[in-house]
Amino acid sequence: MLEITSMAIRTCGGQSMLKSLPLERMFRDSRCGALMLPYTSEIMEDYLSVLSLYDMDEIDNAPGDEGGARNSLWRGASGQLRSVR
Amino acid sequence: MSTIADYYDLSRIRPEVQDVLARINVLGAEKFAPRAKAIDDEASFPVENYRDLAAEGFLGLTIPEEFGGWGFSLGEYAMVGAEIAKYCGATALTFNMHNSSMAWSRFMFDMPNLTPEEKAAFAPLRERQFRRAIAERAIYSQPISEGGQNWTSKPNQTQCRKVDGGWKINGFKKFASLAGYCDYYTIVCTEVFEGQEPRHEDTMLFVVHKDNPGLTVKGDWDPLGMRGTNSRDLILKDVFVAEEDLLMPRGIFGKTLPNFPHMMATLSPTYMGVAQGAFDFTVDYLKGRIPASRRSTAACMRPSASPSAKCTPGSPISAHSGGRPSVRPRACRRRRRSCACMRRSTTSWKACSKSPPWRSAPVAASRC
Repeated sequence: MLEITSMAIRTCGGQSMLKSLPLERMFRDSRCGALMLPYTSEIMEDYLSVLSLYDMDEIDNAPGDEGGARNSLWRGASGQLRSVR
Repeated sequence: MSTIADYYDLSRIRPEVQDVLARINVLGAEKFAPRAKAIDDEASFPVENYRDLAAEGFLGLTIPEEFGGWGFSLGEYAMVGAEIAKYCGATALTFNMHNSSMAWSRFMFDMPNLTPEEKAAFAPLRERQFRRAIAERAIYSQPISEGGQNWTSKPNQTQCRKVDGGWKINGFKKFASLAGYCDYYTIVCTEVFEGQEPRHEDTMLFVVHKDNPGLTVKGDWDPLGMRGTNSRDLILKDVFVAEEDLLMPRGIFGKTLPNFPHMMATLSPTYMGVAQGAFDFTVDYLKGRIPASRRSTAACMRPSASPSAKCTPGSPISAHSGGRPSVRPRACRRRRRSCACMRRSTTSWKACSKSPPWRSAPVAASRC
């Protein structure tokens, strides 16, 4: 999405940097999406990568950032909520 | 500007949904887009846009029909969010906070893994909030972030303790979109018990009225983008909530995300819409449809108003538009037959992926 707005600015040229036109606002707005918890692009990359390499039940022992996919509500029955369901 | 027919198969969209999408496009073009700059400049909340959305009844889009809402499915609601975002991203993103709050209560109730007892306890709680949202035209927000912590990985740091007749909540929410502008906050927190570490499975969900004692909105709001969301800090100090303002009975919240992880995907339509808006602008700009009054002074002064004027390569001003005032596309096409990209009616992603003007006709474009 940031790529699309970047490409739009590149396509329209220097004038699209001006605040009198809406494109620069869209460019700034578009940056915010990938930062938003719980689906930041980094966390989603972690999900994709760790689940490509390991099964759900193996990821507790997988190396990497424990704040990402490994220890999440999303895991439900496979994760720490196992005990309550 | 694109229309929904440019990117959706209309045979798959219910007529009443198409009507709402069409109405959003009218509101967007006439109201949201003209207001967007001031909202962004001042980092103010799009209050007037909300008035317009409420007047149309759109605050009830995801509320079930039996409680006076529209009963839109998640996908149908997502399309509405994307249309709003074509005109004002901040309106769409905050509108999602409200609709997502309603949608949680709507869809989580239908999860297959709820016990009959849980369902029986849930039913009156959600009905209370649905009816309140419709009757008061109330805006709900759902601040969840607490700053620097992924709340799906660790228990929420905002905590509640059981007291007589309800709970007391203490904590802090970061990036509380709509802070100071919504009527109710849905607060996610961890219920704590004496002599026990806070646990993820004790996550609770409450509805807190904006005037509830102990609730304060603090901090500045001057961010890079999505400036109209007004996502300031929300501080909760001994905030009392009554038992009937619990939004989900004990034990249900933990079951929601494993069964409905796509609930959070309601944030995505906003960004799809912003991207579509950027694309639409680009097409309009290249076709010379952006009025001269909205360009820089230098651009307006360029003596290129005649159709035969040649564009200067390397100029920061669009080679296609040459700083001319708004030109109707048909006339534009007649006069400029040599420019291949002008002849394309490229207003949709579908068409774009086949033949984006900047890919298919770079030579023609540079020579126009």
